[in-house]
Amino acid sequence: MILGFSHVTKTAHGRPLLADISFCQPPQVSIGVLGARGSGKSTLINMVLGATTPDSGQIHRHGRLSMPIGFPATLNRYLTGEENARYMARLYGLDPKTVCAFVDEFSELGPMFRRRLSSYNASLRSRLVFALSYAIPADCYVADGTLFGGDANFRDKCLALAKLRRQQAAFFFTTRSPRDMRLFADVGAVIQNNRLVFYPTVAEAIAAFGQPEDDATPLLPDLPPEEPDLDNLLPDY
Amino acid sequence: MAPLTAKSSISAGSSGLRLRSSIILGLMLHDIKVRFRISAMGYFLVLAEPVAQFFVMFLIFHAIQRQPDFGISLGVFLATGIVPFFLFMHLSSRIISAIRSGRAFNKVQTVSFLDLAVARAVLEFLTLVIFGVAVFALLAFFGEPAIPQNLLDVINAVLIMAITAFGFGLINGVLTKLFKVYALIYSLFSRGMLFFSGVFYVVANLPPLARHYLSYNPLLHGIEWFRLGFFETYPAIDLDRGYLAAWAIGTVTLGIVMIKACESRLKE
Repeated sequence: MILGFSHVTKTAHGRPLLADISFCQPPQVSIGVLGARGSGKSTLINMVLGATTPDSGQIHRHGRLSMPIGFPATLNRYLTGEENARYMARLYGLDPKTVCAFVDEFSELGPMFRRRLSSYNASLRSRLVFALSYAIPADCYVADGTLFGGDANFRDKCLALAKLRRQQAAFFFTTRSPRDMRLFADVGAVIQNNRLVFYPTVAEAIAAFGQPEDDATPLLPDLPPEEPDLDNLLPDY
Repeated sequence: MAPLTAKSSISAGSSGLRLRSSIILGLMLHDIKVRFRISAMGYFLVLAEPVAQFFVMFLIFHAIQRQPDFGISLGVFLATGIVPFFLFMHLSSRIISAIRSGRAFNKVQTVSFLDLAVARAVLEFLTLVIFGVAVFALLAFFGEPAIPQNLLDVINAVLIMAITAFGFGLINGVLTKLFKVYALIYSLFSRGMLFFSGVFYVVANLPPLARHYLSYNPLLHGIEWFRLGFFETYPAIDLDRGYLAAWAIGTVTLGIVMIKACESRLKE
């Protein structure tokens, strides 16, 4: 088992958001969760990663979980692409050189890899972000809505890398896109009436979700909100 | 292109000391790089506070023509109080802010709050040691007797004060995160400590009752110990090294227990 939820319940603003969620995810298996806007997809992902504590129930994690794909929270605009890659590698106990070499080659940023992130346009940024997301090995890749992306030239390559990772590790992702479900999920679930309902096949989950196909994958993800930099500068006693 | 495999070294190094040191090194290098790039001056500006404190006290002492409570040099006497005091205050407050801004890492599974605190502590400690050496070197350069008589006492005092500051930082970091008002109380309290820590007076010269109450303050012991390293004959009669060491062990232990116990609440 790589991830286990046991009777997990979470309320938000006094109303139940997710109720009595239980499942057990074996290694190498990809679980895709469909959910409408505001149904609790991000809360579910946050609970998976331990960023949010459930009100009741237990969550078990065995093995390494990735950061949310496409949203590496540690990116810093004052650093170059290379420095960001090195930083991320160190935070996961990896050899910075290996990770940098991989990201440099895969993202095809060229000389921009050694420029600060603040000088990147959205297209360059998304190349770095996705290359970095999949450069870090994980037992389970976690994604909230975005599994691959980038500009037209990069997108196919990124999808191929995501599929390669899909063969090497488990995935746990939420989405509104039936297309991503078909591409990545082994097991389909839908958030319905605050519950996580699993279906025998992915096709049935998509049918039960019953929403028109819409491409939920944003082309160009934004940088995470800026770190509170002032906090690093000023003592606060 | 040789793709990284999902099964490479990550699981092997996942829980060991190697991962911890890799994370702490990463955080430190990141911290120093970003701070320098935002503003190199800002990095050093925090050190303006003890320097300003020093000059204000120096001028006041000078204006009222008061002699230093001990020794022949007012500059060295004040510096031996302000430097260790600032070490403690700055270190503990920077750890507090590391814990307070630690939420940014709540989706990075490998990084714990203790990693953030240790990385910040090591970086600030190194900065402060360089600062301290520079202060006394500068005083010595101007002909003041600023060379420690017993370097081992100075090093021990600094280390044990730094450890206590680390423990204080952990405890107060957790408390400020859980109770908003606490931050204000602590900041008032810590500033007030300047008057109760023997920074600009010799404790042995005070009335017995005052000495008795002040001797509960661990900071005072650290400063006395530090001074003893500079002046061989310093009357550190109230100095209790064991008492300070007990504070160091106690605060660090409690701090680690608290930060581990509250890890998931801190992440929210």
